[in-house]
Amino acid sequence: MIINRASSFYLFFLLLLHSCIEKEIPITPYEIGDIDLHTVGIGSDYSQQVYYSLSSSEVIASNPKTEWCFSLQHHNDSILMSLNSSRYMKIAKVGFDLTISITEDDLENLNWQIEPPVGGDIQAPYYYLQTNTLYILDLGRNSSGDYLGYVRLVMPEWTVSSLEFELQLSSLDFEDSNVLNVSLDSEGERSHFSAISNSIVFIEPASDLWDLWLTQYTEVLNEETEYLVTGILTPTLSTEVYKTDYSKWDSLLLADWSSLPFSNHWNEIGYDWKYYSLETGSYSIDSEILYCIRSTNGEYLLRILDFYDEFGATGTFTFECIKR
Amino acid sequence: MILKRVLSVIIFLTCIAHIYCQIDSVVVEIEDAVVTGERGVSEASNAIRVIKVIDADDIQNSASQNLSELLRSQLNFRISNDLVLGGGLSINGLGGNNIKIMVNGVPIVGRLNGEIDLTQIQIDQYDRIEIVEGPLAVEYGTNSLAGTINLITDLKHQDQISSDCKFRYESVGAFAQSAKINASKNNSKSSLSISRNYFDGWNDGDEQWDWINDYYADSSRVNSWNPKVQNQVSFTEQYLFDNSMINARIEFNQESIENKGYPRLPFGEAAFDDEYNTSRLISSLNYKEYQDANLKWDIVSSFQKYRRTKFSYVTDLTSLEQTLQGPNEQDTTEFINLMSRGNRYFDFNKNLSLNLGWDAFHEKFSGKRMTTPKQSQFDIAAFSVIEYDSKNTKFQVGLRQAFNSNTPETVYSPSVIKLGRTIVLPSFNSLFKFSKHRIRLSYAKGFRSPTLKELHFMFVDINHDIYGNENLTPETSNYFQTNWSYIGEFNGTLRLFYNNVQNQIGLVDQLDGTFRYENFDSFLSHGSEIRLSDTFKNFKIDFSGSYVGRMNNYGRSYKSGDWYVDRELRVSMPVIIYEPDSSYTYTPEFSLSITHDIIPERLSYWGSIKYNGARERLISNGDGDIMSLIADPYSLLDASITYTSNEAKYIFQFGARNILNVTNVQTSQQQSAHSGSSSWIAWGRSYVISLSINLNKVK
Repeated sequence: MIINRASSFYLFFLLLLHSCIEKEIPITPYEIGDIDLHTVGIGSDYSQQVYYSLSSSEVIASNPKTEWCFSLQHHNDSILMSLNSSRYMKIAKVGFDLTISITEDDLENLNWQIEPPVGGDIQAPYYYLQTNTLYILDLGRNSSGDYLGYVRLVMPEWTVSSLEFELQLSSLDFEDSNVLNVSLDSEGERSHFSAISNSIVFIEPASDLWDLWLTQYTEVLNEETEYLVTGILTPTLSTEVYKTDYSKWDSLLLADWSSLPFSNHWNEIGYDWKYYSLETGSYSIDSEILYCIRSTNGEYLLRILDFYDEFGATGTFTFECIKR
Repeated sequence: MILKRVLSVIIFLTCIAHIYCQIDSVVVEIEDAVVTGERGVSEASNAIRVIKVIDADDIQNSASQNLSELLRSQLNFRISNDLVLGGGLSINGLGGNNIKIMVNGVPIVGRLNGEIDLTQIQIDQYDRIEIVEGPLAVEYGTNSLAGTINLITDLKHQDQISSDCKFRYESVGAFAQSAKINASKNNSKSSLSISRNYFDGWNDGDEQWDWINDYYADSSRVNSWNPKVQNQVSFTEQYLFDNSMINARIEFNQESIENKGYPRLPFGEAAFDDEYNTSRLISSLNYKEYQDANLKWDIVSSFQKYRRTKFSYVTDLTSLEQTLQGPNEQDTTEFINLMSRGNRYFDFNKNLSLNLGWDAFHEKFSGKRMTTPKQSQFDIAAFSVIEYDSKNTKFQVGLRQAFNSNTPETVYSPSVIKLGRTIVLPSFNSLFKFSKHRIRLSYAKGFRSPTLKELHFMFVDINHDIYGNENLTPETSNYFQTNWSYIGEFNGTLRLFYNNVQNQIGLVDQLDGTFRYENFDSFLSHGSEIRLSDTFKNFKIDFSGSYVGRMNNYGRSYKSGDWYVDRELRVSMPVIIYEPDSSYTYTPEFSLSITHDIIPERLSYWGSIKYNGARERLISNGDGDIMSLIADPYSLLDASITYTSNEAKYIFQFGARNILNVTNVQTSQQQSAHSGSSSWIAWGRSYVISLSINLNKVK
């Protein structure tokens, strides 16, 4: 009897309070209007590299980041090399002894350099290939984090302003040696090569067809830490960017851009428009950062709005962009 | 399935026990009793170690709901709050894996980032809490370098049937209900306890009295303290035989936390939400056998299962439909632990006794980022404690020999006493009684086995090269303590201690782009502590104060930390580059509590204040460095007034918690002018209203 009373009493309160849970009320959908939104994905594993045109609002080309290892271009009467920094590739100049034996211990002591995030054409004459010089390429890692190994690279002969020459690629122990016949573009476009398949690959459209390169790349954080980030590069010679977080969208759209200090650094847009929050466990976007972009196809004002797709996977860039 | 098996075992034992139960009982109730590390039940004042007891009155007065809230006002204890991982704890500067938390002598498993989430431990179901500072490695093994907390349930009721229930509301939006039914028949006692705790989340700026308010799916959905629901049920059955007792207990806890994200750009129509579901099953069986009123056998075995799943969703805020994010965003962590500890006591004569025992556990872990998804280890130990107990003196020498399946012999450091592939842990305790005075001298060697994560962690992708280390040696410590107590017109205690922990384990940059867990650090602390308590007229006053110095001493300097590793993993991993000046930093603490029976046994008032002095903290800054920061001092002030009706049928309580409204503590950098950071201490000032109803007592 008493137990029944107790049970009933408690049950009453239990039920009374159990239903007392705050409920969430859906919001009314936002009316989008005429915002010019662009959405481009490089895959949630960041495995793709995408060439994007702001003028046509479309992807001009894309390729898996494992498809190439380095590019060469004729630049300032020299041969400029760019590494595929989306794989955290590195290069080390060994010297003039082309047959020197290289062991794993030797590898640790080499002076390794990454692809400069600001662009090889701006920094580092190191990347102007020298003849009869042994270079070691660290091919970096694939998307799973597996090492892809090392390759010896030598350009035996080259005469100034020549666009055709040979490249020797071999494994560290010379077991696998190959010769690539290179023919560069006279306009200075980049030619791409794979040291894994020992071949020339055609992946990059002409530079006047696209403006943005969405890719992973190796950045230098705090002036010392090399780290792989995901962002937007502008590696064409004709694209310049001015970045600001002080101006308002509307006023910058109407302002005179002629006095703005545009930069030709590849990573002026870069990666730091997003930041990872430990509290929320996700990336947040600093949409206050505005980018003025000047290219052969016109002038654009851009701000990045999201880094996630509709399923919550990273690697999808959403940005608002207006042509002036 | 497992739950069914455990229940079957308990039901089977219940039947067996019913058949054999007899009338006589040797179980005696002792006032001010303690059991942790003792043979049977002892008076706290005559226990060979200093054991701090938080009894049922203290628990009720504090108006606390969980262990985290209760312990924050205890001397030398610091609570940390991770808003996803829950409440952590440190004792005298050592925390995480170095604190053992037990329920009736059964260690609780399920550590995330080294911490047991104290907010998951609802204290209503426990009768008292015993705290031993310093290692109890001989008796209880790993994880007790800093101290041991033993949660005790007692079946003291003499009634055939009794029941009580409690309703509690805290003004931050926390609603709790609990109920307990006790039954006794012949020599068996049973107790069933259930509770539910709902918290609707808290933000700075919330209304002082937060009721149930529905909310729109805009930025108001985000909380600093995440909303959660906790459910708990436990069942205890006790049988008394002629000279023995069986105690079977099963407890199931379930918690669900919602971590709701901000509406995302550009339109605020979607958000990333996480849901963390934790379940914890603790089942135990304790057998005790007595001979001439002395404990002869004490065997406890347990099966535990801990499971925590994280679900990450994209929530459409216009419809509240949820879509699971990719598999990389989901996570499940599971521990399964089997444990057995036994003590056999031999009495050679009136004064001399020997305790021979075993302690073994087997643990399986499954989770992400390990060399293989499932890992296991077993640890088996034999121990002996010889005790000489005369009228005025008591000596105890203990020795434990332990084998851990994951620790190879070759890596033991000189600080570990080894015997083949086993390690040896000694302890010595002594007690001298002089009338109203007690003097204790103690030494204990503590140790902590590396966790499965520290041994087998592996996270390799293009940006990370982080490894566990199968060659880790256990952390060890040497702990010395002396204590003088006075028991008379007032009670007073003076305690001095020294603790030297060697081979602390942390993540270390290998300077080749990889990170690996290593033994790298030593931690030293020493301090003094005074406790005074007195009762006069209708007042009871407890005062305690301590002054503790701590020092981290790194074996060598370490270069470069990786903050981005932390960001990706969302775990705190101390990549140490901080080079300290090898000096102690001292922290004062004091606490004062007053209980006043305004109307004896009817109306009482309780107030408590704890001052936490400034303390050094090592944290990761935004540049990837571990930095020495000084956490500001703060005080926590709580008070309650309790009305008890005739025969304690109704107990009404009104409490005010965190009256000084301390929410987080700022830290400032020790050696530069850079700004510091802050850490959560508590939610804001809150008020508690509770009603306990003891409905019936059938004698």
